[in-house]
Amino acid sequence: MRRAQLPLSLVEVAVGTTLILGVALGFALGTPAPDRQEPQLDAYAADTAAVLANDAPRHDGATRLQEVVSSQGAFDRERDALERRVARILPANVLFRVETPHGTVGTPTPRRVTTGVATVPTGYGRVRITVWYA
Amino acid sequence: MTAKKPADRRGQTSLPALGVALVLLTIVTGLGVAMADTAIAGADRTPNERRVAAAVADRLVAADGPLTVRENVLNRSRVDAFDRAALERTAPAASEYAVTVSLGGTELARSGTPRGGTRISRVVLVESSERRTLAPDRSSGGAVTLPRRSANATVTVDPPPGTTVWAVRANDRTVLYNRSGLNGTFDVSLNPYETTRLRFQHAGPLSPGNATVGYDATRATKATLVVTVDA
Repeated sequence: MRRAQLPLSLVEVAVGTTLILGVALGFALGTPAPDRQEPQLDAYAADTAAVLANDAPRHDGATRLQEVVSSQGAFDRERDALERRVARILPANVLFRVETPHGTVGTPTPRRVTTGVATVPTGYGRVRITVWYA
Repeated sequence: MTAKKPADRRGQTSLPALGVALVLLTIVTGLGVAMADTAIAGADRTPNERRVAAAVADRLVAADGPLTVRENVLNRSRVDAFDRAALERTAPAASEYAVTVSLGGTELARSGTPRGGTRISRVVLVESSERRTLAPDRSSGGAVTLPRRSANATVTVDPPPGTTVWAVRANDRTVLYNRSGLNGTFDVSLNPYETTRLRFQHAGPLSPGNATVGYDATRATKATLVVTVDA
């Protein structure tokens, strides 16, 4: 019986093409897109920390940053003023969250956004500033 | 033997099909490698332009940078003196790339003309200082409080005849002392992290003109420093 046969090499080329395209597709889709926002966001976070460390305190203490972390009472008193100050330092399209040993101010950080982070050690603990684009 | 044996009728790989298969496979391999190469090049985390922009901006706001007095605090007169030569001295990359530095929308220095390019913005404070003088008045009991924190002050003592000023105290610290009387202009260094109250210890009347305190009243305004780099 004479059966029509597919040439074996065509079967091979189909299998090989699928294999190679699969690997190439893995490269194309598997590597995440480069993150172009991170250096800028990190710079914004570091700048916020530096500006807060340079501001004169409203009541007492050496700097504004030290004043807000010095005690729970001071933090509660300064919470709103700190939020306003940080909002004024950063551009309008940047949201922020400042975590101190006594509490946090700002917007909760959403998941899966690129953030910039700066951590400042103070005599009362670490202050962590996270910023991201709205 | 009239009929062919079944073995002769088996489907055989034909030579043209093999050739076509090889050519196809080679093309696909080439395409795949090219795609992978592009993907990896695109995933480069810090392309040169961005790296240079971030480094130049970092250098300009660093505590020991050419414009700054402290980290992120620029000095107004140094900002005014900044030019292309200073930029290239600070950031050697500026002579290879087209770099523009602008502060609050005003261009400070440029090397080349960037078209588009990569921008990095930094939030800075621009500090300008102005000399002010204060005199202690009688209501404050011969003391004067500096309204702004300052790292140093100039105390001028010119007592009238019959009056001796023997000490000047800053908060709890004696900064000037002369048992037989102070007379002249003195520079005193103060603690910039606390509010300073200067007290004159004197015998005899002391009117406001006889003792004055000069200090640098600094004013810091927020501004945005933008570095644009075009390769």
